[in-house]
Amino acid sequence: MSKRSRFVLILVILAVCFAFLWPTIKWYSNTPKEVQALALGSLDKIKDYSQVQAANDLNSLKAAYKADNTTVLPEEYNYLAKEAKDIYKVAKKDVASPMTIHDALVAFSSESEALGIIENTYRNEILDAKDTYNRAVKLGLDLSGGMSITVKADLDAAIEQQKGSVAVDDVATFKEQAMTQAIETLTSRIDKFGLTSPTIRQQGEDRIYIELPGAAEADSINSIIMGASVLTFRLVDDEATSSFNEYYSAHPASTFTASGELLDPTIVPDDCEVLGIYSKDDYGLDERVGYLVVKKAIVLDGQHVKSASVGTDGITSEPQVNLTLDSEGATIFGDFTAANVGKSLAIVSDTKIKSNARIREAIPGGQVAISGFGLDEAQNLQKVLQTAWLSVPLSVESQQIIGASLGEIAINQGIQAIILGLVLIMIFMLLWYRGAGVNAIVAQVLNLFIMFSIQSALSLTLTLSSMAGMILTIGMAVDANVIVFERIRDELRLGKGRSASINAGFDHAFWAVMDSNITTFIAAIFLSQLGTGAIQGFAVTLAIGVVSSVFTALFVSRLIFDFSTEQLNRKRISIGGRIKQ
Amino acid sequence: MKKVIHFSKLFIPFAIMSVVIIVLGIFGLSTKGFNLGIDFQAGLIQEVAIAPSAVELTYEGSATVSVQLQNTSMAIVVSGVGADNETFNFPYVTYDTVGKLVESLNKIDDITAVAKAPLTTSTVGLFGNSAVTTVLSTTPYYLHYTGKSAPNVTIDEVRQALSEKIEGIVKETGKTEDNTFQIRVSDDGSDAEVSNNIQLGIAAALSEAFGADNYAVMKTDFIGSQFSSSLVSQSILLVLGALALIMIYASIRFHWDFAFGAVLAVIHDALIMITFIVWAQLEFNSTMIAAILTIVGYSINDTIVILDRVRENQPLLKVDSFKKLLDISMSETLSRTIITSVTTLLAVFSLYFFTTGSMKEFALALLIGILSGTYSTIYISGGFITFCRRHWKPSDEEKVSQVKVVEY
Repeated sequence: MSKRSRFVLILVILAVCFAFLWPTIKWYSNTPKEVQALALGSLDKIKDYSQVQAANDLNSLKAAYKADNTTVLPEEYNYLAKEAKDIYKVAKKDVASPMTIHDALVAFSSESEALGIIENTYRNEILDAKDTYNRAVKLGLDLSGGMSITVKADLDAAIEQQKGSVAVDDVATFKEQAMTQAIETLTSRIDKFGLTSPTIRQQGEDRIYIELPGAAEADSINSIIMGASVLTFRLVDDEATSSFNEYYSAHPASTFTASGELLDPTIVPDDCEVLGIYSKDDYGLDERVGYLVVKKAIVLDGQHVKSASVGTDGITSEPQVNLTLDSEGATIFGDFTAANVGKSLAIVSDTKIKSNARIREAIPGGQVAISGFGLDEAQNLQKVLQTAWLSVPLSVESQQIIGASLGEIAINQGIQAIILGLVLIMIFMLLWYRGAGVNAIVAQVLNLFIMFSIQSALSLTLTLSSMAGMILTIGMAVDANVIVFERIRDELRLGKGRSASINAGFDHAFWAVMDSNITTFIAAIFLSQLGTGAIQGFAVTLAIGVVSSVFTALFVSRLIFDFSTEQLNRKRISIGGRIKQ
Repeated sequence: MKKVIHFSKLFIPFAIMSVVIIVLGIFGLSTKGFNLGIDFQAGLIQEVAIAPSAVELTYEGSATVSVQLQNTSMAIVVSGVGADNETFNFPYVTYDTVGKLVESLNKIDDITAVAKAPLTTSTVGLFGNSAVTTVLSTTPYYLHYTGKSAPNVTIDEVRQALSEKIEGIVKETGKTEDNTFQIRVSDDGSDAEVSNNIQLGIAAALSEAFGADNYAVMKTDFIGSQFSSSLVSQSILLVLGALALIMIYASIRFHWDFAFGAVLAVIHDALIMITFIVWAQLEFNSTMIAAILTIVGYSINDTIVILDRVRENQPLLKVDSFKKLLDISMSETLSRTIITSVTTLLAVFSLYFFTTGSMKEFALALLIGILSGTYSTIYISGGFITFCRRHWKPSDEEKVSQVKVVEY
């Protein structure tokens, strides 16, 4: 390869690395903390926020228009002007520039269309930030502080509990369903807490790993995990619901606290509470579609549900969910429905209302049919009703809480160690190899850059141990340069000239560098398979470092040598070792 | 020409020395045993600071308001609905006393800050309780302070406070004026909610003795009894797997006795490190396993380069025994061996210098591992290969094709 194409290749690789690194840089240095907080919050919170902000904005625009009907649309609403212009263009109407508030707003067919556009702008801004976060290097718990928990699900006990029922006929499917269910329950409970960007994933067959960066409420989290999943049937208070909704639309911003409690609890009757009603959105995620006020008293406990299946109504052939209750449940349900015909019953999973159905008539006998929705929704409801018997006993198997201040200390330690290590190695290489040392330094700095950007590209978590891996990799990676330099010195000692020594040095060193790095790479890959996070971070860093150091030592450093030989016309080589040239 | 060092003379004495050290290690392991960390010994370790509160914070609005504490500043981040989204920064350079900080905190809507410490208390080093949420609500959130201005608490007072509720071991960590203590409680596996119960027990005992707002949990580690056992067997399996693969690769690239020599050196280094860990009573945890595995990677790298040179020299040199071939090749690569050890040691040294706790012990173990790795590269793998090839004679082809002349 010619020097030029090698140089271009290096530039391309560096540019790609920078692109990988960009989200990390953007998130940590370019995203205001309040936007970070929003982006890390749950989707519900993002939705609430953009709705309220959009309503505020629209109201203030209307107020400005009322005060002076020729007010120009403020610059921050340029996106709105753009949309309006497009509409005018389609309608082939002329628009005055600059656009006034009036012109902008009348372009839309309704107020809610304009509201929707403003809301989307807010939402997209936050979702963009969320996306940036997802592509950035994340700080591990030991650096950010926070809590991690490994929960073990006792599947055997769950199977034992359900012995004889249809659900456990296929043990493998049962286990899988039970785990999915347990994870879903934990996710929705933790989401409710409004904690920042929790990670919840299954580990192995029967373990769930939960990570909550930042800080966490240790005792409430424990109760969240230990609490059995609860499915209940509860009566909806229609009157309180409509008065609450009226209140809520008047005070959208000051109804709930950060953790979802009512700021003023007196707006609903004492024996009631406000719960969100949820349906699945297009992505299969829970989306809140409104609020209902339900009685705190439980009509029927989900444990009385023996089975749930999706069927169709014999007459209308609409989809419906058929429930079978046990005998105790049948009695309770029969009596209750008889007394409450015409009222609504909510099916509540934990704190989310999953379905809300009107009682048409008394339902004795324990065979319940719920209808009035599409097939998808019926299937979702059937899944929800399964939680009633898929309750798996959970226990905390490991837990780690690290204070945020300790995290910051750890970050500082890591950075200081990397800097000191790098500087010491640089000084050493300069003293030992003189001019060629500069070459090694460039290679190592690039190495660090490449290592970090690949970490970013793979969305790996940065921990103190992966920082240790970086610094150690630098120490070891210099080896590739050393092998090459020593070879060049050998060639010089034989009396060869600059370019001959360099060529022979690199050629002879090639397999030594490859062999030694491939074996180290094998060790690092095995190490990365070891269960715990700290070791993994370290090993992956080491593996990445090995690859990038081969690249920098054989490719980048070679180019630097060749460049100064040919372009700068160097005849000698400064590589230390008191060699006569 | 470089001078040839006669490494081979010391092969036997050093082999004996290594065996003696490793036997000592096994002896130590059977008598003293590992100082097992929480990864291998079920239970809970909690680090608490008995520190008076400096500021009490409450919030009565509907936005999400969180506190972010850093070493040199603190920030209040307001987000969500119900307030203007904004970040308020309080660098300690400007807000250097609790009095100034509280005064400015109170200017934020719906936030109430109350000074609990003398108004002149320095704000540098304020910290929060890691076990509670940093999102402010009507439940007070406390910022704590330690240092010379805070009253000193002795380890006996902490032991006394815990004695009635918790059976645990208390150690003091850090400086005396920091008042930080480590509480370790073991888990016998009988209670499903043991983690929560121990934490609640410690919290109850400490708040009774020192007041609910006068202590902060810095760090909690809990490993249940079912969890801890699998890590050792998993690590051993992985090391064996890695060694097997390295062995295969090296056998293909070199020769089986070279490969075996390299792997032997690696095993030697791991055993030397274990000996060191046992005798220095370093805490044996998953980080230590990582240290051992790192040395596996390092040592193999070190050895392979020498073997590579031996292979290269074999057809080039006029020598009558393998010992000489090895001595020459090792002398030629000696400066590389030393330089690589030095640069890696520099890296490990800076790690050792700046970190604390388990990371420091990790660096210390690596330090020993690197020294052992360098030594074993020359003496252990070299010795083994020489032993395997003690009857080696250069082939006729090699005898004629000598290119390189080295004075032995």
